[in-house]
Amino acid sequence: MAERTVHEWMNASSLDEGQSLEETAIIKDICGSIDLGLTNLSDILLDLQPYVGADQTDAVTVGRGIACLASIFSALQIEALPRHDVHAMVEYLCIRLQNRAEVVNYKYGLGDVAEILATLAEWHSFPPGDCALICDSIFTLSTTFKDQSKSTRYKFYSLIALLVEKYPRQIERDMSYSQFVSGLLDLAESEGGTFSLKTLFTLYAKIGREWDLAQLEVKNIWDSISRYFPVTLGVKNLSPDQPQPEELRLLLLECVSSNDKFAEEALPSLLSDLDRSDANKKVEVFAMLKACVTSYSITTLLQWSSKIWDGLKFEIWNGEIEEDVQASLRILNGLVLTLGRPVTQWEGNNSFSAFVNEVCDECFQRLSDMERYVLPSARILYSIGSTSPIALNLAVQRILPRLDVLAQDTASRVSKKSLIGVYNYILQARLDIANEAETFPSRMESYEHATTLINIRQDQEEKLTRALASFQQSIVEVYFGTMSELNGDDSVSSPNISMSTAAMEGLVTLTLIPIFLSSAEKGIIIQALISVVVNPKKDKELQNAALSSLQQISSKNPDGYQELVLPTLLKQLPTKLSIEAEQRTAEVEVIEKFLENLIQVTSTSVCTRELESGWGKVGNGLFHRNHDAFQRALFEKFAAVVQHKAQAEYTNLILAAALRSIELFDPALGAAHTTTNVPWGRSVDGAYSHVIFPYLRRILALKAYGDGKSYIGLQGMADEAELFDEISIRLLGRLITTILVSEASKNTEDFFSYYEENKPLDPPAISSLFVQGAPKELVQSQFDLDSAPSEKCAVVLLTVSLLAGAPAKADSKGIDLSEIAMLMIQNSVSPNVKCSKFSRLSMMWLVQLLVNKFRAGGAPSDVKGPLVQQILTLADKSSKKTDIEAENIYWLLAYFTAGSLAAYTNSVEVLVEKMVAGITKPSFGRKVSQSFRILLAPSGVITHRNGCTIRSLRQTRLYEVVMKRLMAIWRVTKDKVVKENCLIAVAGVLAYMEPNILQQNVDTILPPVLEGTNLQDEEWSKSACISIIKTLIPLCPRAIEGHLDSVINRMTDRTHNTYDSPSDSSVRCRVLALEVLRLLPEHIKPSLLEQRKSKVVSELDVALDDCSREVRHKAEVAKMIWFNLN
Amino acid sequence: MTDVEMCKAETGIKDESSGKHGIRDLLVGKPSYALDPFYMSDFSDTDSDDSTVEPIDEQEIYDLIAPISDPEHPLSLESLGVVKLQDVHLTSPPDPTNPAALSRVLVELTPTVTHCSLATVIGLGVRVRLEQALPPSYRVEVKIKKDTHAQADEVNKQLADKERVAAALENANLMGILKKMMKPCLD
Repeated sequence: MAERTVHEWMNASSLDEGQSLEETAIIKDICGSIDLGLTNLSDILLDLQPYVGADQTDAVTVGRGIACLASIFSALQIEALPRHDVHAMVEYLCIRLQNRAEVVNYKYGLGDVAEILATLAEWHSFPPGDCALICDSIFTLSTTFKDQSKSTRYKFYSLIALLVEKYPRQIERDMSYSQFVSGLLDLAESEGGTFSLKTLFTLYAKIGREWDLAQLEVKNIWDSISRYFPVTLGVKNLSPDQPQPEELRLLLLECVSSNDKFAEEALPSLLSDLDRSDANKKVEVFAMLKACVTSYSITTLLQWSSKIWDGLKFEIWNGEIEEDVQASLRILNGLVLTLGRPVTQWEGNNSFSAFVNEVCDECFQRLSDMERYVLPSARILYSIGSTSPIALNLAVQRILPRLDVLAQDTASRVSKKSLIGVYNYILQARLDIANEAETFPSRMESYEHATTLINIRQDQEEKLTRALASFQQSIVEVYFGTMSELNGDDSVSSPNISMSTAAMEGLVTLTLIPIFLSSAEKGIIIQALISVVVNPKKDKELQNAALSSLQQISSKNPDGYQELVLPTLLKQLPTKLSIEAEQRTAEVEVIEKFLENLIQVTSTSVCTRELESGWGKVGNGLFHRNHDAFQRALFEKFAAVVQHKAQAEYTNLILAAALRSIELFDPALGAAHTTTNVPWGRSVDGAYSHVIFPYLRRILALKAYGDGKSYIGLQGMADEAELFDEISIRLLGRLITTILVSEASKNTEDFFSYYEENKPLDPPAISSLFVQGAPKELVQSQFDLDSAPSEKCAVVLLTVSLLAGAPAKADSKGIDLSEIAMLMIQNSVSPNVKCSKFSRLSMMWLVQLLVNKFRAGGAPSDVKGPLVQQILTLADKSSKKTDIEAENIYWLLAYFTAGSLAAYTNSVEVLVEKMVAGITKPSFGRKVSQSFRILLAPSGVITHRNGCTIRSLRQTRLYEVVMKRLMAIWRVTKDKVVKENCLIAVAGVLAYMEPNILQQNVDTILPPVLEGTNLQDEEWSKSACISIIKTLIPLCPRAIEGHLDSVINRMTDRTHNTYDSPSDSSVRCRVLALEVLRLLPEHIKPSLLEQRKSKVVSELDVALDDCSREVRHKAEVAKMIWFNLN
Repeated sequence: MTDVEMCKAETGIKDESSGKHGIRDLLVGKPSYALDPFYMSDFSDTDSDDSTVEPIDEQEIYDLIAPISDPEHPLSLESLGVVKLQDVHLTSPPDPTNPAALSRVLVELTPTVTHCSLATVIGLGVRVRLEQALPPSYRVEVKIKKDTHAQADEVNKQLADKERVAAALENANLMGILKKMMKPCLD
């Protein structure tokens, strides 16, 4: 026996808090007992009788009693009643629903009754014959159904849907579809609940699809559901658990497209709606028409095809809203696609060909009649032609002969450009069909008669190829004629440019259509496009169109690219640069332009030729064939040019092109792998190793000192007297890092491991720089630069580049990185290291990288670590060094501190303290103060991309560490120079601070920042200070108001620039100052500005006469805002 | 653009790692270390005015009035063809260093229709715009182009009458219309 009783459940209503918990516990206990056979469900029903029986007068009691029963039924694990008792239960509940005796309390708890019936209907012991009884009983509620709550109505619809799902045959047998539909529609007459409608629409779609409904029933359903079209229910009060309008919209579409008999009702209504609907409804009408034409049977659609065409054609021909035109074309496309699906008959008349011919004839009539109809007609031809080879053949046979005549008619009303547009659309349809044919076999794999279908399609493809071949000559003549006109005339006017651009689009399509043009003809097209690109007299727009065409052809036709495009464009590059300066400048410009063009053609996309035929058949790596070929050709050119004397400018252009090409190509390659799911190849070849190694081999050399010791240096260009310059090294370095951090490298074998496994006897790459045959001792000796040749110092940058791109694993190359860092610290400050400033800077970058990225020697986090101690000692002893050496120490200190700061190490305080001390140095204090800007400025080396640590908290830390110190010195010192140096350092630190830090400390920073705007001969710091004020105005206007006169006076002092009284500021400062003045009226109280308006406006009038156009523009905008202050 | 990014842009610093430069930028673009005072041996941070003199020309005057919006439509005077570059005439004084010398600007408007009822308002807008945006040494004249408006003489008379223009600007409603017309100039 159950320990708990229904009486307890009924009494639980008196509980306030915890009622539901108590109820759950009672139901659980009762159901547990029933499931274990300890209690009989019939006994429970008897217990409930007093609460729910006809004698009970209290509505609340009845409701709770029925709810208890519903809870018990839903919680039962077993079917606790035999079949005859289930039947009795159903009968009892149906009596309550029908309520013929008009018992008052039977009106209550109807939702729970529906739930109990739904539970029973799921039981195996449910007698299917009771379905009709339940449905009939529910339908008797129709007159009062709308008075029920939304959830109750929803429960009844769900119950009906369940019965239809589980017992369709019993419903048909016992009550007929007609009776069911009629009852359901009566019930749903005024339904507006979104949950209920979702269930109803699903139900209508199911019975529409699965039941043989009579036309009258379909009509009645349409009458009912068309009231909801277009669906707007659910738009208001959107909540995530509520059916979304889009969901209801799709279900409604499913209803209408579920049964051909809906066509009779829906199509006339929808087509007439096209003319009189507003824009929003029209969108829905188009969507429903699309659903109809893709769902109804061919027999039905053939009856309606002409009417649909009549309804849509004017939408396309006269359409002003592009979305509507596109929607109409999509419907037409769907209609022809459906109609043509079973047609395999290539020639002869049938209903399908009659319809397509009718459309084509009307299109031709229109396009030959008026210019404005040409493009819409061409789009119609494309929408029907692209559906199948048979449809396209019909269109081609119907249109092309007449189009050919039109093209030769000099008195034609249609322009040549428009005619080319028509050809373009037809050719595009042909190309789409060909592309689709390539993937057809793979798409058919799962079909039963795949082989037959593939054979039929292949046969159609061949027939289409033959059919088009008969028009080949006329098509080629049209396009080639246009191109020859284009090539002959350098000064083409605008209309001709648009015609030529259209012709180019067609030419691209022509080259891509399989088995249409010969290789020679394709070659002519490519040559024609190239000749446009290389002709400097051609219009820019035309050249861009030609470039874009070449890019498309190359992407799909890599053979054409490698055999024609690449060699022809490369041939345009001169063998070498002239000696004469003026000519040389012109040649450099031409080379740069050609290289940019080649990059545009090659590197903005991957090769996609194999995508159409499926990647399963081809290997990886085909994406970058063109890029690989381009890079190989670039290096060949580099190697050829470098043999001539004085060609550094040229070779650097080529190196820059190689870099630029990878910068553009790598993201395109990554995107291609992501979108196609083509796996990356693991080979290191995929990571541009073929790009970088040839340059390294040609630029670097293993050299020897007089004593025979080796080092890596630079090769001569044409001869040993002319070594590769610093720009070459810089570009090569960027190329290395770009490659190492590229998407390709991330997905392929590690560069270093690959090299070091293959060259186990060579020193690690970061010291040998991949130069083969280097001796082992180079591991350390390469970094000893004391009295070394400057070329050895120059290649330090390449080590920096390698480490920047290498994985951040300390000592991963088997060498002591701390040792290298120590050596580099010595090198970078030593007067014995004779090198350029750039090489010295490279050494400091190397120290930065080793400290930040590789945590060299674990030193950075340890103030007492050897590297920090070495730096501090150097700084302490700087006063005893020469000025140059001391300057180098503070230079290194700035970079070391920046690297440590980015990594948020403990050593920052002591390092910054040394920098602060440096600003008082008489000979280079100014430079030290300026070097504070290095601390937070974006670096080319310490970047996230290079795997460095850049902590966001570093800014707050720096502020805490340095600002108080600088401010204290600024306030106390009487020395004007030191005072200025403090302001410069403050500007350098604050220039890169996050705005929120500036905002939090506005009261502290505003005085020095305002003072900083007055700095003389400190353009950068002055600009930074004005920028900071500009940032602060919107963030803390009240603080600015406190210094308003100071701000206005300083800004107008900067902007005042006349012949008699020239400004003390650059254009950039003046522009920034005007931007500050412009911002004030937006954020400062007008009452405060009003008093100062006349002064500001008169100063703005002065600025309106500035010699710089940009300043004048900023002044007039500011003046307008100040003028309209109120 | 965040404030920091704006700040970076303003200080002329390019992030070399962004990879968005052409070949030329790769070769001569300003690198991040260009702000390093120790590296820039010839580092010059003087305040000298680095700009070349760019005198006000017809194009600049045209750019000032082209974005003014039509009072009735959200279209600019440029797109409606009301103002044209060739109809902006500038006469500069022979000696630009003389602060007392005056420059003269004449703008001829082409109303969209010959009976355009808003020609005066548009003309007033153009005149107010130029008077505000050009230095005080510029004298502005706005006229309806010959044979483009049925009442060109009457409109021209109103536009040339300084007192009537000043009185018109006292009218709050009219000023409201003019402000609305000028709004695109701030974008």
